[in-house]
Amino acid sequence: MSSKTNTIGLREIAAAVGMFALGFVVIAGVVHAGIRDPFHLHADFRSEKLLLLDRWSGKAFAASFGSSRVHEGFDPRRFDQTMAGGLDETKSVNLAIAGGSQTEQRLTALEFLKHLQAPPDDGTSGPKACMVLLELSAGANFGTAFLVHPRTINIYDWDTTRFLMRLTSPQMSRSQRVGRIGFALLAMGMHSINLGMLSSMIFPAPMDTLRMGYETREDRRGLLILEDSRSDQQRLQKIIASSPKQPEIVQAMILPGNRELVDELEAASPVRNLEVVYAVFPNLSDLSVQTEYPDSIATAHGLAPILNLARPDLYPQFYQTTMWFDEMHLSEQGAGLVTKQLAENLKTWNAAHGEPGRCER
Amino acid sequence: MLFVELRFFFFFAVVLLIYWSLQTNNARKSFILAASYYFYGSWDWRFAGMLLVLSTGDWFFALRLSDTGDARLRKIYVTASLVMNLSVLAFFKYFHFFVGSAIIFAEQFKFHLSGPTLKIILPVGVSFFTFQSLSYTIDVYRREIAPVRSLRDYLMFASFFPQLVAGPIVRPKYFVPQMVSKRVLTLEDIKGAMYLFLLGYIKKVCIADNLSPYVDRVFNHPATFSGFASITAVWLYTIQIFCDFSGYSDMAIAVAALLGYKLVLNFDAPYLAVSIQDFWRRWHISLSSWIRDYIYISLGGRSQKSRLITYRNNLITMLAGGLWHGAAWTFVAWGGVHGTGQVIHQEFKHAVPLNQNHEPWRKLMGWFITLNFVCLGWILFRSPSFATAMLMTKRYLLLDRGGSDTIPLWLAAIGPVLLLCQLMMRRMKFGERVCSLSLPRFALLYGGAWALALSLLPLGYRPFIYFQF
Repeated sequence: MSSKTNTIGLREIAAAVGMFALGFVVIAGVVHAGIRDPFHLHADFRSEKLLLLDRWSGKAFAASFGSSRVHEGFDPRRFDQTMAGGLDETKSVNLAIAGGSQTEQRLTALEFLKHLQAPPDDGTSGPKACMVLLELSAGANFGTAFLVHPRTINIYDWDTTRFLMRLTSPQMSRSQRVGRIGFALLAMGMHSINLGMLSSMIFPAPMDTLRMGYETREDRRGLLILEDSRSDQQRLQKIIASSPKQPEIVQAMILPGNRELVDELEAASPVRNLEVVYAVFPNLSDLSVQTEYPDSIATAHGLAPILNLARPDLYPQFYQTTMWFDEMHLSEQGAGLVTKQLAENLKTWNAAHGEPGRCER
Repeated sequence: MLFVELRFFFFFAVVLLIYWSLQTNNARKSFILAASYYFYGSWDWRFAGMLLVLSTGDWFFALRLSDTGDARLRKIYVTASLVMNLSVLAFFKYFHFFVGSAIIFAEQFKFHLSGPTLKIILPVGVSFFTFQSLSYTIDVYRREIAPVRSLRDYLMFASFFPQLVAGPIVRPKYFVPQMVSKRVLTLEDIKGAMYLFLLGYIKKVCIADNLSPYVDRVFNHPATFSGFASITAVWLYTIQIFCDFSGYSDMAIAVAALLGYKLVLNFDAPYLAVSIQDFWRRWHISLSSWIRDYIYISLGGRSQKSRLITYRNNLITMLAGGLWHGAAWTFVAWGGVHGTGQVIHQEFKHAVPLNQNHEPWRKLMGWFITLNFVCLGWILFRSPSFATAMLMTKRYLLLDRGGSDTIPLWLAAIGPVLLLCQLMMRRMKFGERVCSLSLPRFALLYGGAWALALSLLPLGYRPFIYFQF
């Protein structure tokens, strides 16, 4: 730069940059240490679910997690109704979130476990099982639109990033691996410098009362039911009608992170006999490409079942237009039907592999 | 591209590096011109073309009217410039407003007209660059300045990216002389600009954007909120609009300063004003001086013959100022309310002359009344309709208790706290003190302040309020 600025030497500039970095790091460190819960779960979308979790604390002993497919697809009322009568009887709540990722479901599940109590054993009928139902096919990370968002930044600490790294495999394409890990590293960087973390604590996002209404009326317990629209039904009809007769079959990849998550949740559980279940919810694209999963994942705590409902060959009844809100999400009727099947499959699994013991402290 | 976006930081870093490595003033001006068009074109390249045509037209008209002595021709050229700029403004900004108003008016007489299907995109900053261009041709017409002979120089003045999209509105007599010589920067200039940029960033991002969700919630559904929540929302909007716009102005001034150019001060603690006239001397100074010089003075300004004529001029000027802010009757009404406030204040001054003994009390009362008057005015400014404005005004004046929804109580304290901070920073000359620190100390403090500011980043993306104007 001209004139007097030329008198500033490179050493002074380097020293100023160094001092800037020092000031930045010191204050960022102080703020990070000052945030009592640097791993701050609250953020819009998720906050509504955490409020729901709070309301059901001590009253619900099973919960589903994952993305909008579960959010709009898991009906706790129907699940409990089907599970009633046995040792695996549940009282459940839907804690899945629109756009939810593997990283988010891991953390909301851990939060759920923090508050989990064993169901009362007063000799009467009622819930006896404690359960965490995870979505195996949820995206690993959030969509890129959520990269600079407290929903991501607040939770991408080192543990989350490490978990995400375990959700990669050498069999994946390089771009997928780099994208997945790159997102996590960027988010962790922003987490480390507290980007937006203070403001999301001072100015928490307002609760979406309208959405909460959709999720809580008629004892929905977190199941989101949106109104169907006629034009959607016509579009869905077209999608179903134009699907190939035989879908392409692809094999799913079970990643180390999937297995380790079960172990982590079991280890974090404050109760004994917690059952961790993976589920795959249907999607209209299953009619074109059907993904096959193994029946279970072997973990340090035994086998964790994988209940795959995305099987048009086994469950053609799911692939009717009335079962869908759109091509990704089930309608109320679809959610009821799929959840019932999920519960029946779980009962069958439990019967075949031994009933889980009663959930207790 | 917004000043608060990461891509602007990259863009500006590249601009700074290349700009200061260029040796001649001409090369630097050419480069700034290219960078400005790139900056504006990042919204929509088509409008960059429109800006080029408008600017070239004004440059041509100004040259022609300067070169001719024929009064009739001079009038034709200045009128051509006025028509060209105002037509662009009227079409892009006010077309739907005028047509919609005409349809509603016709319906009063049982004529049913259908609205146009034409969809018009509002070019970013159109109100700012058309006014800036207009001031140039009018100043040349009034022989207050000489025309800019170089097309490149004029295009650079008309498109200078730091202030292109949301002001401050730069007057040619202030800016053009700076283009003549090669710009220089001192260490003090750099520290001052960096301080101002951070201050603007904090105002816009850490304050205005964090408050806007609460304001939006109440103004979008006013019927459901309690009276206290409504009053708090009005106070929050009062803070939001100041921090949003003055924050942008601070950043614009800072960015220009890092290129060696000085822009005019646009805000001078307006909420400390002790009268409505004082408020307009402190709020959006570049616009208020523009409408004073080109509308109020053109109408005759302060009349020696009759106070009524002065008041009429005052009201027309403020109504036009209101309309400039937005294509809606609520903005016009806002301008009218401020014009009426000025008239009442002038009458009051006339009726109750200043008494030295009462001055401190009068100032205090004046500040209190002015601040509340401005808050009431913001209700009209922010409300999507007169019905919302009426409801919010009733709540503000405690004439309506409202619904049951609330926003956090503590938000009501933000206004007084920030006002006190501003007062203390002015008293302590905080900015000057910070900039007088040695470079290492300044850098240390600056790094820490950025760490804090980034932790206060709000959710999502919110454009500057004044972009819509």
